[in-house]
Amino acid sequence: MSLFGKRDNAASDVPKLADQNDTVHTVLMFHKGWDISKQEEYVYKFHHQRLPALKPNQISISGIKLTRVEDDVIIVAFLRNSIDKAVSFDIVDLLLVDGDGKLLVKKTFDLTELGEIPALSSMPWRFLFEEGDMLAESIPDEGWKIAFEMKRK
Amino acid sequence: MLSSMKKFFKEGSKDLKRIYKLVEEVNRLEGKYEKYSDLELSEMKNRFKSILDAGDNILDIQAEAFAVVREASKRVLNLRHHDVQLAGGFVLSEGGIAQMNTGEGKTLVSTLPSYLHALFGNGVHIITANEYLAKRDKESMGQILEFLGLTVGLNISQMGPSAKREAYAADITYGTATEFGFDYLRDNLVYRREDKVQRGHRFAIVDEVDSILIDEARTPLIIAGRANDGTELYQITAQIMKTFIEKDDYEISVESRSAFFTDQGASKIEEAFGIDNLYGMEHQELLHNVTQALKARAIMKLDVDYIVIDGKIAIIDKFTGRVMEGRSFSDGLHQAIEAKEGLEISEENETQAMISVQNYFRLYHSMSGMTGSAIPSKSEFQEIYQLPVIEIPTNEPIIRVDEVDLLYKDETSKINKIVTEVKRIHDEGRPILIGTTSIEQSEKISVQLDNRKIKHQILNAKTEEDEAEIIANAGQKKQVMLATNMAGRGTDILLGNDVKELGGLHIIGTERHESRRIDMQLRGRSGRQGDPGSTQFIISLEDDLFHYYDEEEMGRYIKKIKTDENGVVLGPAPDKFVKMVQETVEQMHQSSRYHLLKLEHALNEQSKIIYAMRDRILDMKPERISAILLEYIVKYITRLTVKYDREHIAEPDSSALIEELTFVLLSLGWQESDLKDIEGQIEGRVLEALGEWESRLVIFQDDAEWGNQLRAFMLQHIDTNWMNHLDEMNSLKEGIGLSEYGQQDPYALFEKAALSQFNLLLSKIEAEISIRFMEYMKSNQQDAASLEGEER
Repeated sequence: MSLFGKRDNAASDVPKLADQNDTVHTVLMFHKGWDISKQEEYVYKFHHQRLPALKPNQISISGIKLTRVEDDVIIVAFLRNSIDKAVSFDIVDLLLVDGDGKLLVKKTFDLTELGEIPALSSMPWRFLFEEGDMLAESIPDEGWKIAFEMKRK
Repeated sequence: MLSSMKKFFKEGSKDLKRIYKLVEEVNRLEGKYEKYSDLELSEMKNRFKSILDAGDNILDIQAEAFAVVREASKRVLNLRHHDVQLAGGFVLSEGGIAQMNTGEGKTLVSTLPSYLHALFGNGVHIITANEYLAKRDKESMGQILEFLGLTVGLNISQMGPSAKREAYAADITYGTATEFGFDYLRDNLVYRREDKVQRGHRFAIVDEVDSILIDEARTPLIIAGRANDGTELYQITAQIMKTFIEKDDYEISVESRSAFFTDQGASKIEEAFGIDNLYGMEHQELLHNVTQALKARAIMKLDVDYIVIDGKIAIIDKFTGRVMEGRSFSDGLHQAIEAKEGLEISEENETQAMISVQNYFRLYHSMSGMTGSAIPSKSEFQEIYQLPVIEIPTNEPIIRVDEVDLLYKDETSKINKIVTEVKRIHDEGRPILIGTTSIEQSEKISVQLDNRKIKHQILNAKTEEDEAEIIANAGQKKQVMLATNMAGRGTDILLGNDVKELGGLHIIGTERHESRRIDMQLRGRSGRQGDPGSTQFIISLEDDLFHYYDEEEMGRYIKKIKTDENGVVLGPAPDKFVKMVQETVEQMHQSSRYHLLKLEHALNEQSKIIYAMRDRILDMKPERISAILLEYIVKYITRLTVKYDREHIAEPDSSALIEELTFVLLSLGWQESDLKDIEGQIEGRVLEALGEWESRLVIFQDDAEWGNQLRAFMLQHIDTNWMNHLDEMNSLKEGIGLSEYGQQDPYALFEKAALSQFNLLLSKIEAEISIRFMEYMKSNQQDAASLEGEER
């Protein structure tokens, strides 16, 4: 066995099943179409590492970065899957809320392009909220949160 | 025909007489090859190859080979090489520049030497002025070469590596100078030998050679990295460093002004990024980033090493205490300090590879060129490139009339005259091409033509294809076209019906160019192949050319001029004055090219050394890579001990040496007292300790994957250091002011500085590879130990 190889194949690239405390540490994946540099990859690794562990069998979204382009806002968020099989999305309603839970923006996204998120994995994705989608006067730099809108049955 | 050839050879060069004889020989052979079947012609390739393989000189088969190509051309394209084209072919074949006028069929000329030199099997590169021409020539001339059993490739910018490799594998490859140059640079950034696309530089034929070797001389080809991706990472690593505590997370070596992570520090970083081993081969970039962040945190001090002015970092000169204007720390340290101070992260200026076009062409074993305008730069070609320029007579005598310049006192009168002239000649039905120096100028004249209701076309094409198509039509009856001087270079302007009878194409130059060669090119567009035609420059004292000239001299001349009522300068001697100004400006440009070339010499030699180092690693079999690694480590250790011996003769400070050695030796365990007794034998002892190393590396000898990872690891460290060196050499070049050095030769000073910088680079590469590799080995050793512990 090779020395370098040994380190390469180590735990970080292998999905971990739920540990004793019943939490899941997802593995970071990137979409095939994403062309990112090594530096950007480390930035995502860093943010991913700081996400709270998930309970098993959850789909969750965690925003990590807000960028303003004129009056529009781009949110980078991790889509996370702690189910032990792959999931895929199609049409999804996403919300931005402020620290007090007040609704800031709501928009419907078609996520078919994103493809599958493998079992026990996270994938970063960019979401564009345009000025026209805004429900609030402005979006704060801090304290915002991105979430799925739960459809009432 | 013969008379014109003879007139040409009256110039008396021995070379030309010899070429004349060769042309005669090709003509004598024509009958012989006419009788050959197509197959027999194409099989001549093998005959010639075996002659060359037998050790005969290429000169021995020149005439035969040319006769074969001529015969093929007759059959495939129905084009027969004229005698002057054969003569041009011989000049190229022997590594010279053939000056041939526009319309003389330079493209066809190039088939002769390319066939001949392709017989060596090492590839011939034909360089065209743009990609459209490369494609066109490959498709037309390529047919002749393919008929003769050779393969022909096209190398253009949109192609992927495998298509490029295929193009380069062909016997003859068409493409532009920049594309060939960039491929060379990219080839020297690859991590695997098989990723290279080029296969050497044997023989190049450069079309429009003056434009490439002289006009483009000051434009370097640069491959730059993606600059701003790192911004956020610098901020993250700076944040992490803020939480780090000396002794626990990192230690400082005061002696070498460096800092390094403790195991705990390294683990914290691994944890923060969710990676396994910070020192692993695949994380060298992160390691580099955090190392700089640590250096910014622990070593670099605000108001000592740098200050913050207006939100920017400025370096303080250690010796003078003054701020060093416009300088920045290299290798990402600047950005790391900016992140530490919470400032906006500046762009990293990362040059990955760089070469000037002329230095690229100096790589060729032999080269040659063609152009319509080489004679004015004959001495420069000879001195710098050792390329003789030989003027090939035209196939038909030139009957074009080049009228004397009209010099006006200002631009308004000049444009008035241009428009009047266009109107007059246009009314005769003759086509007119107006050569301008910019699109802006074309538009200015266009407005005036509109006012006089003269229908015209501005050549402002989006693509080279469009440009070529439009300019090819410039010879039609009543056509008026405005084009910049360089537009559609390489495309012939064919005369329409009846145009010959009217007097052919008339060309108006609206400004004298800084170089007489460009003026020649413009004139050469008219009167091709014995056609009638005429040209004239209508210029003014307000043209750009005169701005480059000495202001006082200019003022004195303007005071003396006499003009007529239309603003034409009648005296004193406008022709002489224009010629003198043009020559002065040309001389100025030439000196600046010489200057640059001298500065580039050092860097060019250094690139060759670094690229050879890379190639050696690339070519090494995986199992032999560790041998090279050991070489680097030995060199580094030798350097350390030599440095120690030299610096500490008076007061031995063995602790410093031991400290530095612990970075590269697995288990040194020496005390200072150990070294005292063995003075003079330190190096031997250290190398002995290194022996332990070799035995550890032996285990990996059969592991190809490991070898390849090690290869990539070494290349990466060579590359990053080389790229920093490129930036440093650039500032060194900028810093060289010719006036500041008093009596000393600035070039000698520069070379000296460049050499010491290069030596520093080599020692940095050796040090970095040694230390990083050792860190890696140590981290693995601990890891293996802890794994064993767990298993028990």
